[in-house]
Amino acid sequence: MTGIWRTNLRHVNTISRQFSTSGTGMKESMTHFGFKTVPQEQKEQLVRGVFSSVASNYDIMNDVMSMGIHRLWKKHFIEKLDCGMRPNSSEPLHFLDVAGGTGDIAFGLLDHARLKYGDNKSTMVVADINPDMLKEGAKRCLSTPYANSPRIQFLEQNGEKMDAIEDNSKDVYTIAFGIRNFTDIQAGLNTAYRVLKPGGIFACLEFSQVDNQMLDYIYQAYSFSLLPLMGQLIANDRDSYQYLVESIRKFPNQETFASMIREAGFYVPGKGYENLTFGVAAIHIGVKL
Amino acid sequence: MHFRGPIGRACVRPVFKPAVAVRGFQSVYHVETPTIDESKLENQILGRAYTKFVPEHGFTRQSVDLAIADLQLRPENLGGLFGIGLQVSDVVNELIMYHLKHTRANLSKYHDEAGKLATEGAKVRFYMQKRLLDNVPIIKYYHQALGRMILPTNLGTFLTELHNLSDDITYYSGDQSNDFAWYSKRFALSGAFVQSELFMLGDTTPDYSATISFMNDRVSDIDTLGYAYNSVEEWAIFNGISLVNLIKSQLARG
Repeated sequence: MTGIWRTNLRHVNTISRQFSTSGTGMKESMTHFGFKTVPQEQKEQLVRGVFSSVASNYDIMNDVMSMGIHRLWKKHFIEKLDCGMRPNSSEPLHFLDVAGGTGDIAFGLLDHARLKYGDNKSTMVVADINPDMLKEGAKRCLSTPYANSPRIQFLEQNGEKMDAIEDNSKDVYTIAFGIRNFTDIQAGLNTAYRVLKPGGIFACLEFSQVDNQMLDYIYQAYSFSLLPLMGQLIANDRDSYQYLVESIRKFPNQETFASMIREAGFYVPGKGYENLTFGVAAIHIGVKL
Repeated sequence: MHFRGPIGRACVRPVFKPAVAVRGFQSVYHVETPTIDESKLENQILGRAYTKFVPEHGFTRQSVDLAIADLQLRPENLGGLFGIGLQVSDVVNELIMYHLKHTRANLSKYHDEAGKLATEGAKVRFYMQKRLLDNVPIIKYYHQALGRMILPTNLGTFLTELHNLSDDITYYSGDQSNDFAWYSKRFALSGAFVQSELFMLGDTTPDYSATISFMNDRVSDIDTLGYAYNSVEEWAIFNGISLVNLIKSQLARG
């Protein structure tokens, strides 16, 4: 028995299938891409491919798939953070929105600060690993009040490293629906800790796990059967949306992710997260003390 | 190959050890979680706001912002710190909740003094008085808090806290009831407490003596009501048993 097993294993290794779900001998250098297991160095490329292909109709697909609810989540997220330089303050806030290619969170945060607190000074860096998504964001930026303003900057950056961002330089680190695509989530969180100033806040909006089993069943049925189909019909790209659904399922649940944030060194308030729509998405908060 | 069939299987079956006699958990070792965990940053902020800024600025967002700045942090970016996984979703609501929990936890300071009192009723009055007087530093702004507590969205949370308070007071006063009186005592006390607080808002007497006597009257009402209830219960049970016996005796005559 063991003889056959070994031969099998060697066989898999020699032909090195990248999309195999069966066991491979090199667990330490493998990671998951949706339900597939791929070598770690490839995931970045694969994720890039997914988002390059969805960039142009990213928002329309989000609207269709979440029935518009993602806008409410993002709005709630921005209002919850409630950031903005106060009129009597002299020090502007420095925002960093990671994986925020199309810029909706970035513009939302700046709008909130401007409209609620009259903040016209705080700066925003939008970082994304994907140049196509950034182009989409820069294009949209032209129709906002921040067009051609030095306050907003689009940077192509790997969220796990953030080479261009100095240590202790940001007040607010946000990441919305991005962190589950990281190859090494913990490295991303550690980097967030590195770039934040002491007293800075880390805020993450991400899909999570529905805790009610009945609702979870409905949600899973919806996401696995209908979403890839919609992707195929509307964006003509089934595989990308299949990946999105699978990556959501693979992402750690609320408690695990909160403990990963703690692990990175953050102080996590309360139980660490707030569920949105029964836990389909969740907001996680961490404070660097 | 020797162990075949049922005998063989019996030989390899793992032997279950008898349950170990050491219990991993015992209630004596159970440490009660503190009413307010002061090691938490948000509670430190609320505590600072409550003691330093609420008496001046009321139950407002401003008090919390001032407290954050007072702790050398920036209120500009820490808005998201509150309402994450706590019971209430608003900073001001949390500040009010902090007041309620803080004053409730404060009651445990008075156990020695209360121990000298003889009756349960006297102890209840004593704790109620102490709890009402804890409102004094912030009484100027307490209407803000009460107004928020009765909003339909917040009512449930704050009613739970009110029940926790009346539960603590009855427990500290040595309540031994194990029948329906357990509930009625707590409900009645909650009612008396809310009435006294409302009375207190308009009280202008020095040291809130009018509020204290109002509260004493309400607690006496509960005592009277309890006596009336018990008497009615006794009367009903006696008559019920008599009726059953009467019927039995009539039936036995044939």
